[in-house]
Amino acid sequence: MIPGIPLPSRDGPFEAGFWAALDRGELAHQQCAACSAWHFPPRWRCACGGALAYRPVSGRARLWSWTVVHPPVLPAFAPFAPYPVAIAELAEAPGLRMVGPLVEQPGDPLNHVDPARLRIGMPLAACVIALADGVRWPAWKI
Amino acid sequence: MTIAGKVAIAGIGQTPFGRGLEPSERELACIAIDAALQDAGVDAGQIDALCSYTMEATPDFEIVRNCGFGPLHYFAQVPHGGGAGPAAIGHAAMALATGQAKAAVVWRARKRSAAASRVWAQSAAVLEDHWKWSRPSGLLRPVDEVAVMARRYAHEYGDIAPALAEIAMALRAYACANPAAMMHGKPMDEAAYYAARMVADPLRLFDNCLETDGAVALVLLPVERARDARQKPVVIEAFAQGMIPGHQSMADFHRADALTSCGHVAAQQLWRMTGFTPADVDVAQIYDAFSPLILFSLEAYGFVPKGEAARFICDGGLRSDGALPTNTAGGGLSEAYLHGLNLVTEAVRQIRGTATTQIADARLALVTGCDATPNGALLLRSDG
Repeated sequence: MIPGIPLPSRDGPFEAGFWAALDRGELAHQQCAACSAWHFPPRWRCACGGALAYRPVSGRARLWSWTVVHPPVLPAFAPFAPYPVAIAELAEAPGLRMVGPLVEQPGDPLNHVDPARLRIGMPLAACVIALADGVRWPAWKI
Repeated sequence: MTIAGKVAIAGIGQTPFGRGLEPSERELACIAIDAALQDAGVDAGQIDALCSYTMEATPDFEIVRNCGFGPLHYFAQVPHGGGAGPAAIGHAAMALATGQAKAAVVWRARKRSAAASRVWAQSAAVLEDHWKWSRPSGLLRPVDEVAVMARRYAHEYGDIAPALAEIAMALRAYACANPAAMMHGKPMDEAAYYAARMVADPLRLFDNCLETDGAVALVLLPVERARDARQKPVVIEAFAQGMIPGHQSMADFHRADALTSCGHVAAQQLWRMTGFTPADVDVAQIYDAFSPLILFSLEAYGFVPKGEAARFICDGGLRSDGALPTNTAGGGLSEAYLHGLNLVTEAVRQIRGTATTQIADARLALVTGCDATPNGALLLRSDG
């Protein structure tokens, strides 16, 4: 947890199942009942018109891209800069991607992973961390 | 029915570009609009249409009150930050082409040189919009969002570092010929580019645009009326907007083909609206809040096949003697960052023949909006 970072609202449309899963320590995304497509960020219904339901995902992913954020940054992030941020592509589908911090273990600080270790395509595994009290989010274990 | 050939840009105006300018943002807007009206030879009382960006701080009625405009018959704003500029012009042009209004002003004013004025620095404590999915992880600034796309692009198509350096150097060279540019008198070589600090790896300081105080404005008239105005008309040949399904502004990571941007949609539509092709374009003004956007846009608009923009750039393609002279006043990187509206005024100067780095016999100019947001484009040409 980093005090003072901007936090996501948890009461947006179509996302209750996403937060509920994280509260259970799981990662779930919307999947289409008709065509099986996966979606994130949350949406009303599938592009094919099918209904969506939250289903757990494997947590397996690959590093799609990353950057290393150097100052100036928001004050809450300043003690950690420079730090890497990942775009993880989940194993379930191309395009099912999430932005998240990189760690070796849950609880590692934002700047724990040396960017020199990063390679596009390297395997990642989701682990649920707390952004703040009552707000969970997946970090990505290298 | 299209708007091709029906509307012209008849006047352009701007304030000085700089840091810590004294006038308020509203006064900067008024100064630029007044200059554009004088340039066109149009009285303020004749203006009955006004277009701007949704991010513009000054309400339209304040402009009408302060500048002494006539009764307005059309007023509109275009969303999506740097994607808005060409469409702000295009919406005004549609109003004139359809007879909804008779004379339009488009403007953009910003006072952004103070670090605390940056939009990202004012991030809300609880994010309700789509940035809730990325900012809490520390991906904070527009440059961070473009950096991850640049790294992915380089992974798929090869090293882009030399091309990014060449973009920064080419635009700086144009700025050094432009006395109005913020970087006038500040030449930059390759060593200086690489010596600058990293901001969002792989993007360095001079891959970023200049936060600027200043304003630009344009006056649009129906083309027949523009022919009687003070300046040579610059005719709007085509206008298009583009938004690709699945896109979300700037943080556009969640589509399988994330490297095919909104710019591809705008480009396809633009080329459908005209008989001209990319090969006909004499000079380009490509939105460059960050240097990789120029690579992405060159491919989106069909100047080079996908993956070949870096080679085109390193071959000198953006230079005044290159295949596609680009951002010839210095662009957002080295002239000023007025959310891309200064790219439109430079395209106008090129077609008029009055640019500081004038491209010989420039008759057709492309202007693009931000490749990383929903966006638009304009094709401007000489009259006749």
